[in-house]
This record gives sequence, structure tokens and C-alpha cells, in this order.
Amino acid sequence: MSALWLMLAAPAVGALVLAAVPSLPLAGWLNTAFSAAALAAALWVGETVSRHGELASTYLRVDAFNVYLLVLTTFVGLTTAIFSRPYMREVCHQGRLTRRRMRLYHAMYQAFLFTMLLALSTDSLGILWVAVEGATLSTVLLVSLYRTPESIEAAWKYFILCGVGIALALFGTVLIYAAAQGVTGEGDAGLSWHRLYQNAARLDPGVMRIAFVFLLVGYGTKVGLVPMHFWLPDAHSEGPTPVSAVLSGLLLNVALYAVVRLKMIVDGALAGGPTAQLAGHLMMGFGLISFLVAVFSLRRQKDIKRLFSYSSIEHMGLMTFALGMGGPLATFAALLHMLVHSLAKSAIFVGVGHASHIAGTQRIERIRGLIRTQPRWVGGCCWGWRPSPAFRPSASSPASS
Amino acid sequence: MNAMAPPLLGQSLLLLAALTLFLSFALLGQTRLTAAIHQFAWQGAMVAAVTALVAAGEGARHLYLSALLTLGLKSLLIPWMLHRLARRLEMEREVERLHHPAVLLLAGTVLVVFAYWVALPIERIGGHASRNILAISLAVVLIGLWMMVGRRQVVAQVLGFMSLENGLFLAAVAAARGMPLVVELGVAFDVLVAAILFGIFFFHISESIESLDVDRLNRLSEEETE
Amino acid sequence: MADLLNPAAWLLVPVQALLFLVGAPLLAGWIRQWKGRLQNRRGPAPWQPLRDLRKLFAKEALVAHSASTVFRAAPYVVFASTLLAVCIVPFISILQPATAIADMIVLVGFLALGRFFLALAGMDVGSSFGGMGSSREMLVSALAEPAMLMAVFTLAMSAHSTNLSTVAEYNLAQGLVLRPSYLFALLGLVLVAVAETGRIPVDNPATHLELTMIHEAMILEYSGRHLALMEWAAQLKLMLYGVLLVNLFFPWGLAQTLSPAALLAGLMAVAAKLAALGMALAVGETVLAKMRLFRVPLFLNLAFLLTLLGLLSHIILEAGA
Repeated sequence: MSALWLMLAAPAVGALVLAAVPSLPLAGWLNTAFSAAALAAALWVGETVSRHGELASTYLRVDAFNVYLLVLTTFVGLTTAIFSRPYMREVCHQGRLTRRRMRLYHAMYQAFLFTMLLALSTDSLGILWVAVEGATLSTVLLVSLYRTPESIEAAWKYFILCGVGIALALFGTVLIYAAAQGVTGEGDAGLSWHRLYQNAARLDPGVMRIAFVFLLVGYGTKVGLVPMHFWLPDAHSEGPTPVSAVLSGLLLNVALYAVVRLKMIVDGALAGGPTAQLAGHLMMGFGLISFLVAVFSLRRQKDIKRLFSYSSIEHMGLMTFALGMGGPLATFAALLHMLVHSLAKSAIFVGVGHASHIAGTQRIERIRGLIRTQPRWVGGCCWGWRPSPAFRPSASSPASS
Repeated sequence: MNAMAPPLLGQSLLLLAALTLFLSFALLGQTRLTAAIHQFAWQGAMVAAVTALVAAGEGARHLYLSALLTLGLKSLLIPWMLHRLARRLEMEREVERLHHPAVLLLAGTVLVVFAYWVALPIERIGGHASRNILAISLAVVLIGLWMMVGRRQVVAQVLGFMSLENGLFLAAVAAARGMPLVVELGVAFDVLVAAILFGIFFFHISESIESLDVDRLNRLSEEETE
Repeated sequence: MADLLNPAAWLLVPVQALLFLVGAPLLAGWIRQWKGRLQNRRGPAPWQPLRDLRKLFAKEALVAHSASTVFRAAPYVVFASTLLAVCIVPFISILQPATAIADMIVLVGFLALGRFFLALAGMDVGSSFGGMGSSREMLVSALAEPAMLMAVFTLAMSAHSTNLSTVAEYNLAQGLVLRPSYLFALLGLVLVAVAETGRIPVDNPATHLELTMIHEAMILEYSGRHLALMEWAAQLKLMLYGVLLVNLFFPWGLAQTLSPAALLAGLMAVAAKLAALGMALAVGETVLAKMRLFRVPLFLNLAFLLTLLGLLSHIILEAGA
């Protein structure tokens, strides 16, 4: 219990503290410290769940599904914070950012972690929505941190498209709540995932069908499913490197997690009816289209960060497809893929960001000769790129096969 | 000879829902900024009135609080913020030139019909005439969406987004007699933060491209690298 | 329901026509007097249009060389079609039998016939003012007619009949009901009425400037009895739209029996309602400015949108609930 609250409190307090700290080096260390505290609390939560099976409190619930996502999120949050400290100091010295904006950056980084952890650990669908929207809002200003026209445009697109998507997801949530009124009674129980999952068979299938379509389109916008993906390459490539790393590595996972939780309820509601497989088929369709579009777009990319963000779309498409298929093997593969993708993608963005920082540009053809000047970096990147489907054997190949 | 007219509460709810839809259309075609902000404020007041009526009819006390919240946030605070923004950006008398106003409005009516069709299968939902008001609220959401797509000025896009949230709120009230208070507070907080961020964005955009016409936000494209 | 075989009921028809013929100039004069008062003048007496008509009938009718028979026939056709149109609206009673044989579609048809000949007359002499007026009138009516039809359909769908008396009777029986479809249809119909009768903000009835006139341009070449008939027809049209608005949407006061007391009460009720509507129109004309011609399509788009919303509100909100 206290582990859960500690895990949520660490980034929340961190955001407030970092908003007030003016000194840049201190802020960097504090950022790392708060992320480490969150990781420690998440590991404690994980240990408790492995002993007891699940951990529940008002509005919060951690079970076997989201416990590993919590640990993963805090881990990647910590590694990116470690990288961001010297990197952002260097960027600040170059003059691309002011002290005030660095304060905003650090505070929003912790706020972002807080909203993601809240989304992953909550039991209430309403709070899940509020947290995912909060995650969008906290990163919007981060994407446009450099204040170039391109980054402002990217942030605006991100804001508008994700805001619209999330609003549609809210409509779906309202429909689920309405359907639950007759079954779970009034009040908070109508949004509790646990209660809904238990009573899924009694929910009205017609309403749940429509609700799932809205929810898939809504949360799918945040996952980066085609055709709602247009914000993704811009937002992931225009922000500072640590921001791209956490957006690609973590936020997409959280959105996919939301979709899967809802699919579990909808499958229960539609089971036995004529459209029992609707949720799965929709996810498979969107996932496949995302995969194909991303693969064909990869060839055309000249900017290295855009290249990797399309790769994120491709991987998320694969995961959505696998989770849509259902069944224990595909689900295990998808979850393993999620884990490896988060670790690898954040590492890749960190490495790529470092390279483009050295080369001074993000255009692929201009980043050359690094094997001579930065051999250790090259070695690290090679290890990082192995999990991509092109290299075998790797952890994501069972998922793709 | 004819069926008994539905009671006054039901009639007022239908009337207010219809006026909300009409204000959506008014927003869609309104090119003058200050007039658009006022219409948005009225729409927020209509939604708050619907919430208060449902609260009175069902005896749900927490809905009075959310009615007050909607009124304060959507009808007073956010229009005030937008007015202040317009004054600082010197856009108060600005008139946007719509490309095809007739097409814009008629597409809105098509969206209304579509929303009704989507909401048809929802048979069992409690409350007063709820399915029809749910259809209206979905129409308001879709028209807000269309406004964001079809208008070029950023403040108009923001108004579309906010009116979309109005529609969502109406849906929550109509279909489910409002969400739990915690969720409503969270949603209100998110809307407020979004409004603040929009304000910040207007300054950034206006500084960077010297105008607030989103057609000019076109540097990020994949063709220029060929 | 009107009894078609009752001769006493059929007496109502010429009585109604007479009342319209006398009342329409009175209504026009009433509006003009109130406009004058609002503009800080004394304004002419309400029966001044009657005096004007009498004067015009006594004068000689001049006809241009290039005029054809259409020019000579048009005033009679326009007047006759408008007079027929006023006979089929419920004026003082819902039991008037003529409304049972001609419904709202026929009403729209009569008005269209009159408008057609009016436009032809404007173009007939070949003067530029006339042609310009006719093309403007056609623009306005082409955009206003769909809106009017939508409003009329909304009413017909509620009452399940296109018969105007049935609609009035249905609304009377329902009592005071807040219906969004009626609200939108009323607003749309008000906008359409303003456009069709040529009042501000669409057309200025007191102007002869080429930039601003629509109706006046078409009747510019007429004089004497021809002009009298054209003006009278325009006044009848104004009263017709007024009666439609007040008696379909606010039908209280309409006589439901054929007793003289009920009929008298009906007459007084409709006179009061028309007087109030006239004052509202006078206020509107004083407060609003006339729009540029190129903004009239937007105005009529708004009217169409309102009436379409009324129809959609009826289907979505009222028919299913």
C-alpha cells in the first residue's frame, strides 16, 4: 500500500520541487534522484505483488499485468534521467535553451512520469483518462522546448491531434459508464475496471461495441495507429532527445495498455454474441495497417529521428496486431516485445540524439564518420539496434513470428 | 387525438439540447472572434443549465456541483482568458475569411444525421429522453471536430476543441447522470490546463510565424527533403 | 375538421378575402406609422395606403411602347394569385373549408406563380432597372424557397398533415409545448418572411436607388391601376406571411366553432397578434441596416440551416421520445 503511494508521490513531489529549483546542475541531480526513488518504490511494489498476487487500494490496483509495466516505466525514466543530466547541460551551454526553460523541462519530466505511473496503476477508467490526457499536456510544452518554428508546429499538431483523440476516448468512457449503470449501480463502481471485468457479461453489447470503437480510435491516436499517427513523427523528432526517448519508449506503451484493459472488458461483454471477435479484429486490422504504412514510409525518411519514430509506429502496430489476436502465446510475445521495444527504443533515441548533437544535424546523410571519432558509441548502438526485426536472433523475433 | 405532451422538464431538456446544437453551428460559421467567444460562453451556460435540470429532476446532488463547475469554467473563466488573449494579440476585430461557408455548415448537418445513426442502436440508457440527447451530444462532438479541421485560424480551432468538450460533458450528463465527482474534477482540471497551454501556444505561434493562420504552419513535410 | 358541405362555412371564404383586402393596406400603414414614430416623426395615418390605392385607381395607366401583353396581364395575375393564396390560410377560424382543398404546397405554388409573373413583368419593358430587379428577386426566392419548404415540412410532420387548418388545430390542442423544432422553424420562417416580403434587412420597401431596390425595381414601370394592383398584392403577401407566423405558431384565439361570437373573438385575436407583429417588424427595420446583396445568400443560408435543424430536431428529439 505505502509502496504504491510512495511510487506515485516521488514524481509528483519531484515535479513541484523541480519547478522551484533555479540551479541547473542541482536540478539535474534531483531529477535523477526522484526517478531513482520512483524505481525503488516500483520494485518494492513488484516484490509485494509477486508475493500477494495483487495490490489494491481506493482507485488504484496493481496486478500481474501492469506491475511489470510500472517497473519498466520507472527504469526507463531513470536511465533517461541519467542521460539527460549531462546532455541538457551541454545543450544549455550551447545557448539553445534558457535557465527558465530548463526548470520547465525538469518539472514537466517528473510530472510526465507521475501521470504515466498514475495511468498504469489506476483502477478507475475515468482516472485513466485524466492521467493519459495529463501525460499529453505535460509533454506538449516539452516538444516545443527549442521554440523553433518547426518544433512549435510539431507541438501544435501533437496537441490538437492527441487532444481530439483523447476526447473521443472520453466519449467511449462515458458510454461504458452509462452501460455500467444498470449493472454495477451508481457511483464510482461503474468506472472501476475490476468491477466491470467481473460483470462484463451483463453489459449491453450494443453500447459496448460503439464504446470500443471510440476508445480504440481515441487511445489508438496516442498509440500511433495509422491513420491517426500524423503527430508522431513530428513530435518525436522535434523535441529534445530525452523527451523523444520517453515519448517513444513509454507513452506509447501506456496508451496500448489502456486499449488492452478495455479490450478485456469488451470481450467479456460481447462474448457469445454474433460480433464476439469485434475488438480483436479491429485491433488486428489497425495494427496491420500501421505496420504496413510505417514500413513503406521508412524508406523515404532522411531525418534520423523521424526514421526511428516510424519504426516505433511499426513496432506498436505489430504489438497491437498480436494483442488483437489474443491467446496466451501471442499475448506473451506482445508483452515481451513491449519490454524489449521500450528498452531498445529509448536507448536508440539516446544514442541517436548524442550522434546528431555531435554532428550538428539530424539528416542521416550528414552524420558520418562516427566510427572513427566515437567508437564506443558505435558499439553501444550496434547492441541497441539488434532487437530490431531485421537482426536475428533477438527478443522481438518470437513476437514477429 | 394525440399523445400527451411530455412533461415540462423533459421539454426543457430537449430545448436546451437543441439550442446547444444550434450554438455549435453558430460557432462553426462565425468568423468574428469576439462573437464566437460569446457564443461559446452561451453554449457552456446551456450545458450547465442541462446539468442543473437533470440534477433537479433526478435529485442527484453532486450534479449541482458539476453544473456550477461547468458554468464557472466554460462560461466565465475560459471565455475571459480567450478575450484577454485576443486583446493582447490584437486580434479582437479580426474576421476570418471562410472558403466555403455553405459547405461548412451543410457538412455539419450531415454530421448531425450521422451522429443520430450511430446512436440509434443504443436502446437501454436511463434518464429523460437520454438516447436522443446522446445523439445530439455526439453531433456537438463531431461538429467541434469538424470545426477544428475546417477553420484556419488557431483560436477558432481552440473553440472547436472546447465545444467538443462541451458535447462530451453533455453526453456524460445525458447518458449517465454525470460521472463520479473525482473524474469530473480531473476532467475540469485537464480542460483548464489545456486552455492555459493553448494561450501559451498562441504567443509562440504568433511570434514564430507572425500570424495565427494554421495554413502557414507547413514547414514540417516529407517532400522538401527529396 | 372543416365541413365541406356546410354553406355557412363557405361564406367565411369571401368574408376572409374581404377582410384581407381591407386589412392588408391597414397593416402596411400601421407598420409605416410605427417606423415613423420610432424615427421621431409623427408618421402617416394607418389608412394612408388605402387612400393611396384609391388615388392610383383613379389615375391613368401608362404603358411603354415596348411592352407586351405580359406587361398588361401581369398585375392581374399577381393580384389574383396572391388573393387566392390568402383564402387558403386559417385567418379567424380553423373551420374554413377552402383550407381543406388546398394545402401548404399549393400555397407555396400560388406564391411562386405570382413571383414568376412579377419577374417577367420586370423584364418585359427592357429597362435595365427592371431586369436587375428581376434577377435579384429570383436569387432571393431561389434561396428562400427551400427554407420555407423545410419549415412547412417540420410543421406537417408534427401534425401529420399538410393542411394548414389541421396544423393550427393540432397546435391549439397541444397547448403550450416547448418544442425545439418549432422554435427553429419559427426563426427560420421569420427570416424567410423578411426576405420574401422585401423588408429590411433584405430589401428596402421605401427606396428607389438602383443599388438597393429589388421589389421596387420590378414595378418601376407601372402606373395607375396596374401599380395599385401590384402594391396591393405586395401588401397582401406581407399580411399573408404575418398570418402564417402568428396563427400556426401561436394559434390561441382561432375560432373552433362557427358561432358569431367565436368568429368575432377570432378576428380580434388575430388583429391583436398582427398588430404586435407589425410593431416588432417596425422595430426590427429601424434597428437593422439593409444588407449588401452579396450577403443575402448568407442570410438565407442561415434561414435554411435553422429550418433544417428544426426538421432534424423533430426527427431526433421528438419523434422517437
